[in-house]
Amino acid sequence: MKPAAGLIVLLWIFSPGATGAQEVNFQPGGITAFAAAWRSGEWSALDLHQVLSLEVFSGDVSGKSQVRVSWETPGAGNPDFRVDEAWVAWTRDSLRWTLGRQVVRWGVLEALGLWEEFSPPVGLPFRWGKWEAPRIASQALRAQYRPGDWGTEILLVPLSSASGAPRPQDAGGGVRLQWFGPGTDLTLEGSSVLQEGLPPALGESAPRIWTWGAEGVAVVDSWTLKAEGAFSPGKTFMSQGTLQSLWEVRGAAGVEWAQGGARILTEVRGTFLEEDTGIPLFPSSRWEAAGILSWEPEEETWELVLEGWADLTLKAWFLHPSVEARLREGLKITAGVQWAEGQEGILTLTGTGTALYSHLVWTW
Amino acid sequence: MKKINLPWLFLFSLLPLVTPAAQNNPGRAVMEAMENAPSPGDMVSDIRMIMTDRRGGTRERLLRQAVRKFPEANLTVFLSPAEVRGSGLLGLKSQASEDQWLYLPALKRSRRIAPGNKSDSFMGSEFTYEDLQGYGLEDWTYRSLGQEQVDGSLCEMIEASPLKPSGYQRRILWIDTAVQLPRRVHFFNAGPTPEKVMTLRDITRQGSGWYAGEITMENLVTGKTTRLTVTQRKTDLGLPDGVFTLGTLESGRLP
Repeated sequence: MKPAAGLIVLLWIFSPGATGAQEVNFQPGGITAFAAAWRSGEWSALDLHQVLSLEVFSGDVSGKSQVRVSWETPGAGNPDFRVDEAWVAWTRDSLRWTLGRQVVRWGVLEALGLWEEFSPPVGLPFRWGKWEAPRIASQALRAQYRPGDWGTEILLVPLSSASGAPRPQDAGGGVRLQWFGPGTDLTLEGSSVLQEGLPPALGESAPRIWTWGAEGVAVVDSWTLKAEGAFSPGKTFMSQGTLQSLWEVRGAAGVEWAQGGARILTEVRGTFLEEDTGIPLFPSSRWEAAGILSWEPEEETWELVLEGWADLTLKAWFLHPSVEARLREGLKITAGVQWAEGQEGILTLTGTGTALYSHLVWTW
Repeated sequence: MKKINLPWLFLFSLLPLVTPAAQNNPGRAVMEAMENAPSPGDMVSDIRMIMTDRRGGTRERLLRQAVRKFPEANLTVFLSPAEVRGSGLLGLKSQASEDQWLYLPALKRSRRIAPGNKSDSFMGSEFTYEDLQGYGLEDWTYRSLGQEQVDGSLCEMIEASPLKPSGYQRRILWIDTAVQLPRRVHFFNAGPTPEKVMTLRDITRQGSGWYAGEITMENLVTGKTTRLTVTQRKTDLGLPDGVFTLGTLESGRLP
């Protein structure tokens, strides 16, 4: 048994809610998804995904386990088995402890957020993966205390990921202090993670990144204004065999307007390094922009979405119109086109060119 | 400033309290009496929501709702079907503001509802976020339109016009002062005819308060209807402050 699983079992057994004669409730569920995709002259794919989840709650204790089995054509190692989530939580009044494999979402921006290190999106942060859990969960211990108009959170990510999915960053943690005011939310936060993307030769000595920053949301009339900022005093880059440690400042802001079934979202992100790394993907300054236009009728039977992203510095872009139709309760079909252009390394997940896809998803 | 909250429509009972502002305004006096009627400090209800489209097709949702009188707060979580299970809405009111947060499990985080979106449909129903958050007594002006029978009960007809931005240009309420509940509400925007009609039925007494067992909102423009039926109601539970927080909203569970 892995240490995390052992801790979960121990917490479950000795948790206060489990010691009394509490009624135990089980809530099973699942998602069955069929996906087809095609790119002219390059590839085609047929995927079948089965997600099974079980939520258990009794008194102050709750837990969730969600596993996924995938068959992908073409694919190696079918079927692929993955644990999406496996956590147990204890909640008493305003305090909540959560232990286990869980999705941790910090930040307020939708597409260009700065605080995604603990549960980064799988692929580009757009809706084309919305039908499945599009984020990688962390093995974490999380304490949240939110008694009212303020809150605090402490997150520990002590273990390396056991997931089959790629895990960008492992052991680390973070802390947040939140304030929920009239029409405004403000959060101060700090995090520490091991740095990704360095050569394997660095092994155990992977450097640690500390990041400090803030995020906020304000709502005015039909507008939602969002902003995030982050400062990392030392981030390591390897260029031409030499390690450099540079400070990095990132800022992102977004404006969203929604009325009825229409929604317009625009986000901009800037990344600034102390000096040029000499690595094409990490220039001294980098600008990105993203936008979402969507519309759905009041009865929510279908939805049109146009998403776009552009790296203004590295000259790459991604455009994605799609339509989603809800065929019946729990059953929906999505079809879309993806156009992407850009230099190698930026769009590694989508590739460049044009692709068509369709998803049929049944949630039960 | 006290507010009228849709969940509290279940709760109002008898005890008129007339302030100087109401002395020269019979319409406001009726509204204040309804607002100040004794009611439990908090309540948790299980509600069946049935949405019917113009062709007669139906969708059903089960939800649990907790409301607290002071400070005013409400929390709604969806229990079924699977597609919306765990989604929820938290509303908090204070002198300074009215704040709402929506939680969708797919997003794994809460998001604020912008004030201008409060006239949007709540989860595809004929109720808006504003309907769920309620209408502040001080945010409207009132005019008495006389008396009229509704479902065999003599009701005071009150016209309410907003002083603050609202999804409605005016409302007309038929208040049954015997139970201190509206039996019918017409919602207007541009034009002399109502766009929506809300009807309260199955009004019964429980403890010191009167409650509606069924609330129907009919959209006369689209032909769609949403019916809320209370299947279980518990009052004066002494809910701790921690219930009305983002933590409970995101857990998707209510006591």
